[in-house]
Amino acid sequence: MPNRTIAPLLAFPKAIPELPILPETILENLSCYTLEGGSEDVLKIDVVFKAGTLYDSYPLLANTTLGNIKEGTANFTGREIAETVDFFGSQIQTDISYDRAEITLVTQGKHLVSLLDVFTDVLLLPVFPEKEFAQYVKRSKSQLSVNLEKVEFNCRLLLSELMFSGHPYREQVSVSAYDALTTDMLRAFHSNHFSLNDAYVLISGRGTATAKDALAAALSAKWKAQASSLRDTSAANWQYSPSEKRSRKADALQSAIRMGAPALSRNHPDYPLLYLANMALGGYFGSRLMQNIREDKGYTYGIGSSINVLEDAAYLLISTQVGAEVTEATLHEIRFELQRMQTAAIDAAELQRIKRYILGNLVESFDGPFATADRLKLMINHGLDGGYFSRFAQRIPHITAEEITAVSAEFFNEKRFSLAVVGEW
Amino acid sequence: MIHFHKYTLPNGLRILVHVDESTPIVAINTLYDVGARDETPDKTGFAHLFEHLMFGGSIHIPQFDTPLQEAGGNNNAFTSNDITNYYVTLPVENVETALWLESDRMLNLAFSAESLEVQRKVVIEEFKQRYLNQPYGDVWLELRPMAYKTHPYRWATIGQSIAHIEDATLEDVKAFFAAHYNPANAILSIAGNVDPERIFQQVEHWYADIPAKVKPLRNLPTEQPNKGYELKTLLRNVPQNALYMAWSMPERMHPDYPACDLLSDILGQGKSSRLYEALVKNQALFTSISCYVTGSIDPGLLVISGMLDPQTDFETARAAVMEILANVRQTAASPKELQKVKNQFESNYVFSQLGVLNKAMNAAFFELLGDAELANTLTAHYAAVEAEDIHRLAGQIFQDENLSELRIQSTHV
Repeated sequence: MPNRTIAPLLAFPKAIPELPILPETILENLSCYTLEGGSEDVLKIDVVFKAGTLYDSYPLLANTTLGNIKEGTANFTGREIAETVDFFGSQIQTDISYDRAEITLVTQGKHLVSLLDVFTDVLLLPVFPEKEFAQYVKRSKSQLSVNLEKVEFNCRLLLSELMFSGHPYREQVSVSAYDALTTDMLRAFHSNHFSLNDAYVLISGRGTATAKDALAAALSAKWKAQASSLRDTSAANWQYSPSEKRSRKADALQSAIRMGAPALSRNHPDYPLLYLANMALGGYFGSRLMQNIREDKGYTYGIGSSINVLEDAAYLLISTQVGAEVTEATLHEIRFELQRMQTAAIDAAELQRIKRYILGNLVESFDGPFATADRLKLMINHGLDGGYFSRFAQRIPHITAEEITAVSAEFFNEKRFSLAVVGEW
Repeated sequence: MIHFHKYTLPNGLRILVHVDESTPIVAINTLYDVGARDETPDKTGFAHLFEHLMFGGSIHIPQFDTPLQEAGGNNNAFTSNDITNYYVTLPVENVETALWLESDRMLNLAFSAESLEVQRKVVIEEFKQRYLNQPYGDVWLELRPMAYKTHPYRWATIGQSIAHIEDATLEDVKAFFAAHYNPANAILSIAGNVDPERIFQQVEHWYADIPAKVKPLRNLPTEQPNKGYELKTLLRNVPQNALYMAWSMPERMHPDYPACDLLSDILGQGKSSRLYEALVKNQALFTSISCYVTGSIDPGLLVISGMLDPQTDFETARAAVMEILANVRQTAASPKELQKVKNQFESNYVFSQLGVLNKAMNAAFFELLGDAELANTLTAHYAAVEAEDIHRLAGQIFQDENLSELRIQSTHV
């Protein structure tokens, strides 16, 4: 009979390996990183551009350019691209963040050679045909109008307005904004921001060395050196000052709540402290916000906080959706937990649990070539060196309760937070 | 080839172990053969509410999450109409912590009234967040009772109404546990860098003394075929009209299931699919359209759903869909089209098996369907489908008396 009252002994997870960041150069000056591994014959090729929403000269321009990139190229119609990619059970995925845009080929390795012609056309030679653009705009307007019915989507926009007005990170979307866009604007944006001059390639999975050579050959057959210039994204006139705004949505059953405040970037020496403090506040299921507001009060299906690190700014974000009738009560509890982080020392058991949880998750975030590729992208985008995560992991066990209180006092001060509420209260 | 070691304990617990030496993470997946289909019509949403309570402390361990977080692990669970599935990932050094936690909550729960009170509220907020406070969020609450008249698939896993969740009592919770949570009704699947003999001994240590109970007999009403065409139109405060069409189709282990799945892919998988190309790209009658199968263990549904262009009325939209369906009934898929959907299936399947968690989770489900070996033979079943099968099934499925049609009419249009 096992003794069920005694927990099995725990081992501290293994150390995080260093990730040497050593790209090879393909074409004339394009960095190509490879991460070999995995148990299946699958490959992912990410091409990462400086084409995030940050570079929008008009609202939705970066998004729309990326959204139309597969709709037709110099050598293939949109239909031919879709048919080829579908036929080989593969995908050309696109993804955009504030800073970067990515075009990704995901495929079984055995089909790679059949896809490179289409993939390199999408990368280098999109033509942005009018008819497809008009349809894209119509579809996007439709999707956006659905999103605009959602309290959480509106709340995201509202907090962005409060925190980033005047900053290129401000998220500005509206159904009518699509009407200002033209295919000429897309082409101009493409030639400046989807240029390989400012891009890099990351190939992960099995057979990456062969894939790299095949990709380089396919690209060089089509690529011509061309000048490009990134839009200036300095935010000289922007200064953060906290504010609060509420927007009523009639008959909403739930309110969306978001709070945001400036935070530290990853290369700041105190980042691990803030990372741990945020974990305690709202970063995992056992966090104080989750335990108090979901597991004790039952006000919500979920609440969390995160540090959103962009390449040129970082902010703390607390977000949740709660029953409309408990909106004020939830705000009260969030403030209570922010205050408690600043005034009462975190107890030893909680601190120990969070440290182990962070390290265990770090091991998981390097599991397999695709997960590791995501870590590597983060390091490249933020200019972190190959030892970054292993140093981060070494620092975590030594963080003290006093350090957590101190960093909380600085960053969890309620006066620094902007507050957006959408719904009923 | 994915190799699984299989064991069965004397108390009936089935165990699957897959060795993957390439990863520092181990996945422990526990599938219970109970879902929303096992609920009674007056207590719907219960399997899912119960899933929440499985985290509220077990007989010897006050909290499930805390020790697991200490071990650097993560966990979650989901409930479907067929199963309730719990999973844990953590660094392999600490695998025993997961076995300790999972075995204790299989043995018995703490059954706290406070936990029930709180999770009842949490689930009601989940109900609002996912189904009621979202545009089009209530579609499946409406469509299920149209498509199923007698089978318990007629309610959604979240439950038929919030009232059923409000009414759940601690006695209900205890009875549900006693009926469904026992070793013979569970499949434990482990994948990671483990030694099969050693892990089996550890499993034996933690699970062997859990008393055997009889696996509950399932005796569900059979849905009668050809229930008749049903149309329902709902007026909703949403930006666009939306059309949902659901036809009855065979169950997951029916020999025709792969062909039905491929039929839905020909119609709706990817931008080169027939519905997308004709109705979104060429005719621009819809702004989006998709086709998929529910894949349930008992007879399921093949669903076409689409958002109408503001210029399109329901009759035109429906007629256009019907024309595509008439076409697929009359003409067999071309060899190239058939090869395309087979390639898509194979590729999706390979990607769905990446990582130890997916491998462990899929294996447990395949074992429930009959044999974990399905992981290695599934693609061959799909490869064997012929154009004639798809043609035949299109004729069989796309009959009006099999069709439930739901229209969400926008108050804005």
